[in-house]
Amino acid sequence: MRVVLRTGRVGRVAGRPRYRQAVLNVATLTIGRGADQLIQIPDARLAIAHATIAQRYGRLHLRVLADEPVAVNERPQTRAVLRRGHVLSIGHARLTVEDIRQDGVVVLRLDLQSDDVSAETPAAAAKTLLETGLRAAPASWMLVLGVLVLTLLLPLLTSWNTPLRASLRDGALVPSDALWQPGPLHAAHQSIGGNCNACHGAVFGRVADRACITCHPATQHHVPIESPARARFAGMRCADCHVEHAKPSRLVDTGSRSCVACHGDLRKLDPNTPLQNATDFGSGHPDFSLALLEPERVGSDTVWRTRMTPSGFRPRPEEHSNLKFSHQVHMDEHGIKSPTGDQKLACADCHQTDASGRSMAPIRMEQHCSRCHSLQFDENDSSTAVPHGDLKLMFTALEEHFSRMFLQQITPGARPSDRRRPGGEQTVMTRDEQRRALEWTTRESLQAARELLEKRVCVECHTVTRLPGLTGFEQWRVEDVKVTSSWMPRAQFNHAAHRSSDCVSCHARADQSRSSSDVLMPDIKQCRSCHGGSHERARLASDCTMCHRLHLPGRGEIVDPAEHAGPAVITFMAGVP
Amino acid sequence: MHQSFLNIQRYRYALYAGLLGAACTVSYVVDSWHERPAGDTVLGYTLGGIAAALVLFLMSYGIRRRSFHARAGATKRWLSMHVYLGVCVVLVATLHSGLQFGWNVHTLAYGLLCTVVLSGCWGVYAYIRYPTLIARERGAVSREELLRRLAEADAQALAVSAGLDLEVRDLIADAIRRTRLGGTVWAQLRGRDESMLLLVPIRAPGYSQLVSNRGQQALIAQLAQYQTTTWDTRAQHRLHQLLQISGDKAVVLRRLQRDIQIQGLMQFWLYLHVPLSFGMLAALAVHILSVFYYR
Repeated sequence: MRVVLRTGRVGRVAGRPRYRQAVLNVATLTIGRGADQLIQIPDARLAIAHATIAQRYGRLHLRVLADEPVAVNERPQTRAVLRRGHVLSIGHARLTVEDIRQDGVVVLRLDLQSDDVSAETPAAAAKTLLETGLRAAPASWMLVLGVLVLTLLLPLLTSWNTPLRASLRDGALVPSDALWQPGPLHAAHQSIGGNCNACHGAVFGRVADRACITCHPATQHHVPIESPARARFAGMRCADCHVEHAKPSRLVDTGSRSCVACHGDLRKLDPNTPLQNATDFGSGHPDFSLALLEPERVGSDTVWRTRMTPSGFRPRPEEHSNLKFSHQVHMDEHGIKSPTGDQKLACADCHQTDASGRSMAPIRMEQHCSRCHSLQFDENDSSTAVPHGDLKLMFTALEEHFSRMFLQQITPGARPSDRRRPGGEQTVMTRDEQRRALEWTTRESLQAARELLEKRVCVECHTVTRLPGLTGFEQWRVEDVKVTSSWMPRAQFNHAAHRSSDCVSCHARADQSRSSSDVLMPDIKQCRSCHGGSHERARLASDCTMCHRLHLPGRGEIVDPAEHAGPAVITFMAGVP
Repeated sequence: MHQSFLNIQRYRYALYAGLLGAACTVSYVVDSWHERPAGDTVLGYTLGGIAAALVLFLMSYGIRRRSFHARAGATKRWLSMHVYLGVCVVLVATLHSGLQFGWNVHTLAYGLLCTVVLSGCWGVYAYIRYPTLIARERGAVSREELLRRLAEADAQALAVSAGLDLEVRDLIADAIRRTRLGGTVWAQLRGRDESMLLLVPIRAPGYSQLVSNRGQQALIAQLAQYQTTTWDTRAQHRLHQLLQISGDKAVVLRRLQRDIQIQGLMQFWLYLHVPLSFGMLAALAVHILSVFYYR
């Protein structure tokens, strides 16, 4: 748009009038009080950018940007199409459309009614922040109200179970009481989602144990539920140890309310406790003691009792499993005789973990030993193997074997398929022959049994006792075998977590052990070579819960005190009478 | 040595705040040996209580400052306390948080506290730095005097240009009208010379253009061009005068703009500090309420 902006007539030059004018070539003609407006009108009533004039398809369009309209031919307008002869009153100035020529050039005449060009023009602008109308109070109120509405009012509406609760909690960007969460829920509790009231019951009240027990009803106590020691737990809450909304998120928090609060000085609580104090695995933990199985004879039976060894393996504990076994022989570096030639054995050939990988599965004769240790009483006849584990079955097997041998000898042509038919045959054997057969069978069976039990097979691994004054099969007893499987029943050890280590790095010199009485369990020093106390930096920081559990099996379920009524009922939190 | 609010009574309040901060830090370090650092432990509640008390004390400065009975010396001491304890409260609040932050009202309160203290630090900087700057920019001359000189320069320019061509008169008038000083908050703080000038081609056909007249540069260039195209010695003399006046005006204008900018900066931090501190107080109240609401 080309505009000739005339501000006055100067006179005539060569018969044509001469004007004070500026020729502009702009897309839009800007009008206002501001210094950056093409037509600047110094009038305080006008906006900085008050109006624009633009040419579209040959027509002049006036657009008023400010609230105050512009008078076109003395009629206030906010939008207008300007024609030749229109007079615009803008503030104290008048703008006349003198001509819109054929070639599109627009001729405007500007009359600034007051020609007051003085230094007062810039003086109108604000020169201090206060003059711009900036105030602290409105901003303060807006911030305070904004904070209160977003972080107090909306969360309270969610908390009060208003109809808005669901929509507030589900809205991703809408503030709800989730805004009050100091930290995230533990991954195990993520399914609770944003439902604060699932755990938080009474307002301004602490989370009750009932909330936990609702979902975890079988949680066991630390001490037997009926024992007086339960009084020690009075006032304790689930949330004391299971701290939620904390970072980093941990299911069990080992803060000051931890195990050490009691186990640091147990004698103070119970002078007769057999337990030793523990404060820290690295610096204040008793040496290990083991739960060893000990056989004890009660009449003709063996009863296995658990005996705790003294702490620290001194004197060196011995296991009495009634098994004869030498690790050294089996772990011979040149290999050991087997049906397929000499074979080098590794620990894992016999010691395998259970399905969980955490603990060791028991070693079974049939699975681990029988390939080499055959139970044949005739080394050349594989059908002569006797069953393992029950002497009576073994004797029966022997008797059956020798009876068959006898029968095969006196009736050489007899085939196993021959059957006696009722009345078909009279007598195969006379009574005398029967007696002789029984005598022979028994004699041979006893001979074979003696060979197996006392000389060759059973005795290699088992302790066989000959009972005085008895004859026949009753004269032998093979002592019960039981290998300790749970050496430290109160500690949880995970073999899977230690899989990257060599067996002998913890079970030191296990391959050198000559006797099954050797206890090959590692002592605390062995563990401490990698595990340190809970604040250790040089070694793996290990707190109590790495090996021990608070909730012990068989102690009885934790109940919430609120579920009980009456003073006589012993509850978890209330004291013991 | 001049006693400012910072070194009053030999940094006594810096010492107090430092001791409080050190005591809190030591307790935190000792406690974190056995306790997970958090706001809900015994130490956490203690630190939270101290921080809340500090916040209330700091907020009360606004009331005491306005107190009719306040003596100048006492106000200075209160300001000193306000500044040092304000820095200290960030430390105490950080220890109270146990460095557990998240998208929640608790971190909002902490974040607002930090911005309040940061804006306060800007205020301290402003009070130390800007008075010297103002003195350097303005000298002993007051703003009113500078404005008077500006008006004088404009009046002189108009008077001198009266005897010149119409184009020059229009040019001078336009330059005066389009001279900008102050304005919106942003314009004041930015301190840029936004003056404009509508340049009309000299004695030749062509389009007029609206250009920046920063430092009256466009005007001076245009006047110089008029001078080279004029043979009239009287006109040349007047143009020379106009050039001198425009140069002087540019200097005065620049000093005024710097003065407005620095004065603005010196006050503006308070427009952040006060509203943010009230917002922080609201967030702090919600923080305390919500923590006990869902325990």
